[in-house]
Amino acid sequence: MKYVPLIWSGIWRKRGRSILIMLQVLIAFLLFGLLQGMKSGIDQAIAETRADILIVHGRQGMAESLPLAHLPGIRAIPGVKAVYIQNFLVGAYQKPTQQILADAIDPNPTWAQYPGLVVSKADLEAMTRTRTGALASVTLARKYSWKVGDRIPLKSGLRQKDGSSDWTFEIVGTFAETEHLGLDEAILINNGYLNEARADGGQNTVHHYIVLADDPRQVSAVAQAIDDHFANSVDETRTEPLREYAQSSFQSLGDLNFVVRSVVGAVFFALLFAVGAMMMQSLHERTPELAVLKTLGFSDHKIFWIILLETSVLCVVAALLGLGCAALIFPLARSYLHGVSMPYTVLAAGIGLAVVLALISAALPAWRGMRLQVAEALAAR
Amino acid sequence: MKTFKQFIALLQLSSSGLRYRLGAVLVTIIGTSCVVGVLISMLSMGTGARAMVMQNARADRALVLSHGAQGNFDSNLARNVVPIIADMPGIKQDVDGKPLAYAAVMVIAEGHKRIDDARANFALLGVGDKFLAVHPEFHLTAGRMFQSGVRELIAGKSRHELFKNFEIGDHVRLRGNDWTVVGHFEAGGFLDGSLLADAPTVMSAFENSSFNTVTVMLESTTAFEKLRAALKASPSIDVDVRREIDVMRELSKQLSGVMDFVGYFVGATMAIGATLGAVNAMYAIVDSRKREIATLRAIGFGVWPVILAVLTEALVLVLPGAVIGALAAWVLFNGHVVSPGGMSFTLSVTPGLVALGIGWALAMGLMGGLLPALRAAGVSVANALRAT
Repeated sequence: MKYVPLIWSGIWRKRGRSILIMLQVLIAFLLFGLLQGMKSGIDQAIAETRADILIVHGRQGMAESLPLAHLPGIRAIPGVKAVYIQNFLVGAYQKPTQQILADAIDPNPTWAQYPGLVVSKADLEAMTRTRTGALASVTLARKYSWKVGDRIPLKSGLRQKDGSSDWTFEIVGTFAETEHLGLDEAILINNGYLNEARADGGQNTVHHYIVLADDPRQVSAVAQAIDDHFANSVDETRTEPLREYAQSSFQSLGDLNFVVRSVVGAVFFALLFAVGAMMMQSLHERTPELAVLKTLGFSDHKIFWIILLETSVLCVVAALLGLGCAALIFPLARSYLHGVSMPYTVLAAGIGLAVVLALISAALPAWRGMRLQVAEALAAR
Repeated sequence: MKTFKQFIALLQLSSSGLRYRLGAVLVTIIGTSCVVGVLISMLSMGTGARAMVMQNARADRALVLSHGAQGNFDSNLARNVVPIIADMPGIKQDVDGKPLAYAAVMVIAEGHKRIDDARANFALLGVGDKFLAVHPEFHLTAGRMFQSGVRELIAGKSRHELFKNFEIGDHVRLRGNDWTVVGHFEAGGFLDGSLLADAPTVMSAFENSSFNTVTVMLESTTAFEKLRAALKASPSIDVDVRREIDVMRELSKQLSGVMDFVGYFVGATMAIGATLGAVNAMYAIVDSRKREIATLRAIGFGVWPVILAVLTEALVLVLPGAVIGALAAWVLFNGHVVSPGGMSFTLSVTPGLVALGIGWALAMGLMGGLLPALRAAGVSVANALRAT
């Protein structure tokens, strides 16, 4: 403890320089926090994706639709708790830039247990009663001030049988999502209505099925069973756990890993030199002082540790400030990457990195300080 | 004149002393090269994407979409409006007097990348028979053209190079049907990422009853207004028409917007850090030359030559860093093919980007040198000479 004042005065010996170097470290760790946080956040979001959900789509991928007739077959597979159909209609509300996603579903009571979605039985029943009925997400309902009974016209690229591209839905209730499902700006509509009215030949098909499994540990077996069931049929399926699906869709963002690693690498390479050079300069200026300390009886090792500690304190404090700034800025990035938050592991990794940075950059100056010859150092004056 | 002479003398002095201040010099050079290297590398992605999209985009080619459509996919043109559009004035005609226009239908296909088996979506375009005349930049690189009425397709350059199972003779299963790959093509630009087939065959296989777009070759770049006015005036159709070059420019903005934002953000943040490093380094240099500067001031050197000399030194120090950074980015990434999602383009480190990097570095040098230069100018002669 008695060395604290010594280290403290060492850091503030040249105030301007220390503040500049701390700012530099701060900015480097701000960048580290944001980039690494983004990457780790995505990994975490994938890991937190519910393990008991499967997605069933055509063998050729999401581009291919499946027949509605697969529904009973999938439902009959052992281990399947519930099956949901999903079809989509995209339409513009009022003006072309206000695109709204209409998710066509079968509003049966099992939707009340759909993971991550809050919807009341009464609203589902209302939807069943009204053919053109729709449930709006609470976000959309608030955005456009929709009330139950409002009629919502959507202009879509998908035409109706009568040639019209205008679809009108009647709001009969609302729903909310508690996990990111991509339905935050969507409405739920009756697939029965869409199926009958569409003119594009997509009758009796679905975009994909969502399957809820009884046991999260059995998802691979259930997936295999579903695909086996439809093997060699005209519409072969491919069933994937949602987690794997999320993984492959994030992968399409590009090689994020490589970008993050390169940028962080370049930043720290430059920082290593900056901190190292600053410590060398500082040591050079303090040669007489260190000689005096040695004369007073400080051992070589103590000098070594004092210099290392001084650098570490400076780096770690600045790194913590930088990571703190990153944590403050992070929520802004969430509007681009839904459901991603900055994990605590990034904080720990950042502190570790700061210590490593300090140790490497201070190693040479500290070693020099340790090997300092009192007579020579004082004589140089 | 005196100022200039003094300035030159100061520069000579500082350059002769550089090797004694190796630490500060290295910090500046390495800091700058890292910033410039990262900035150029990240921006080369957006530049590459833009170049890919804009290549062969023409001002005398136009795209007709249904009214209000945001892009190809949500556009919808009924079969019967296609001949009406093709008969509009302003559209170039071939020797037989037929309009150079074709309707295209677009469906989504999927493939697996060679490199990591990752899945990606891309377009299968069903095109009409005037396609070749409207796209003179198109040429087959292998195999033959698809025939109409048969399930045959040809794959664009980046499609077959980056994805599995698009070799000639391969069978591709789409919506329950087998399609045979019969050729490879190159058109330079966005088309290279797609598969092409005969429009009626695609429409019947995918049970699609309408087209997405009509592409027309214009008589000249100025004929666009004529076509647009005629389409507007026609009571039987409700469509929008846009120049291909404008459509592509917008597309490239969407593509490179995010990449450019990330590039500039990271580049700017790193630049702030490195500028702080340069400030520190220049302060160290000025501090170690305090006596020297005071002596010069004492024998009659002015304030301005001192300020200019320090600023120039900062600028000269960042230049090699900028060159190293640009060179590293060029060696490591120029010509590197990346394929985020279903697209594919080459990273390109253009002279413009290098110039931007050097400008960026010079700005850093200027900012980094300013405060130290002022300190050097403010050195109190008496104090500096008295101090040991």
